[in-house]
Amino acid sequence: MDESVPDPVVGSAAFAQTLLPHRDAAYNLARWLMRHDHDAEDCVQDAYVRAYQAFGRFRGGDGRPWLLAIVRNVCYSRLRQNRREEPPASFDEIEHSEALAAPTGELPWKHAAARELLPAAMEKLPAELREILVLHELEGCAYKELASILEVPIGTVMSRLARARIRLQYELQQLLRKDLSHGM
Amino acid sequence: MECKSDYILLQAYADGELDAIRMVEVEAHLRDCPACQQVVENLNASRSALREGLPRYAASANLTKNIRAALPAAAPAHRARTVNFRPRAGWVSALAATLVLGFFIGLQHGQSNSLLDEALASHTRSLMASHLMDVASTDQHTVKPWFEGKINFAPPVVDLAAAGFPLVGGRLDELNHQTVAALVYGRNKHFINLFVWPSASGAVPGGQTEASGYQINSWTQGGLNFIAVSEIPAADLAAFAQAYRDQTHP
Repeated sequence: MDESVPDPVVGSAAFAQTLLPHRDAAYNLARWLMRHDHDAEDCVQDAYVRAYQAFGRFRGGDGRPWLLAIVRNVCYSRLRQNRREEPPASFDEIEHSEALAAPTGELPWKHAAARELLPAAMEKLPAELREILVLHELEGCAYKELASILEVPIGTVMSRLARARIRLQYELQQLLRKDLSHGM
Repeated sequence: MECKSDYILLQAYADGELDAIRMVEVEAHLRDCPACQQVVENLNASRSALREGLPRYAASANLTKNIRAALPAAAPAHRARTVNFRPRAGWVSALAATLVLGFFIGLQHGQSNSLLDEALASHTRSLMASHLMDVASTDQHTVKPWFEGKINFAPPVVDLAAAGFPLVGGRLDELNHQTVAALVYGRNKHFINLFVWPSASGAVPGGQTEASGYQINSWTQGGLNFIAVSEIPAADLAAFAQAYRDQTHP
């Protein structure tokens, strides 16, 4: 091994210094995945304990992707245990991918009601699409960081992000349509 | 109106993930293409809508207290150490120099063979900033183990510096929705991406073709598919493929 070996990061002081600053990011991700305050707090606390136990394997550098990958794993295993209902994944992406290449007609983002309906549109997304939008848009994670958190190649990051964006646009459009017809 | 541009590239542009040269190329294209302009506007509008319309939840003081309380005073058993995965800065400028390429490649000749097209698209994507290598090393004994545990096959990693194609690194990539190993070799100031994955799912066509100014050479050997993609001259890529085959299956 010819890699440089800088100062070792040892002990709970180093742990706290490296990972505590990312607690908001950790909680935000957990809250969006779990959808409940208490569940999210439990997951984050659990993730910190696991991170502490595994800190010997932390390779230094930015602690955020490393911590978020653990948070994510804790959340998913909790979700599987709870067997929470996830929105059906039976969304025909081929059909709606048309909207990607050449979006026509009115786009929903700037619509007056869009802002209030966005959280509800997010709820309709499967977890893996919801989380990539949260990490990218709210946490500002770059592709490389997303690849590290989600443990997938960058190509997958790019295609999943594209799918998440079309799906969210589609769900928002549906909600806007419903909202307008109710308002009449 | 019928612009066959790659959404993924426009998305990478809107996300600020392109290197400077490619960004300039996209901007030049956008000036002439209202359809792509609209895609980018849509991406930007969605970003502001999400940032303004969605809550970013923050950890409560109580949660922070609980996390601190749960940390034992003792140190964990192992020491952490840093592995330097960052590609050397020199490669980035070498990369920029080679990027004299048309922007909207890849999809125009989709009818011929989608796998080769994907390999080509992936090659050009890999030239985007910070995506060429996940492990940057000229040492095959560093690159080879890096793949272990990440994929369920072992790409043969050999250094071909003696033949004029030094190994510079590797990364994970994706072709047709399957994870593949990508080995990166240098040739003067250019790069060769060699994609490797099990041929169980179907063999590649084999032989060498040209598309959008790129050379693509594919073969199957020892249960693995190989596609080499580069902008180097045809004879050079053929020599590379030969050298790699000679080294891995003498």
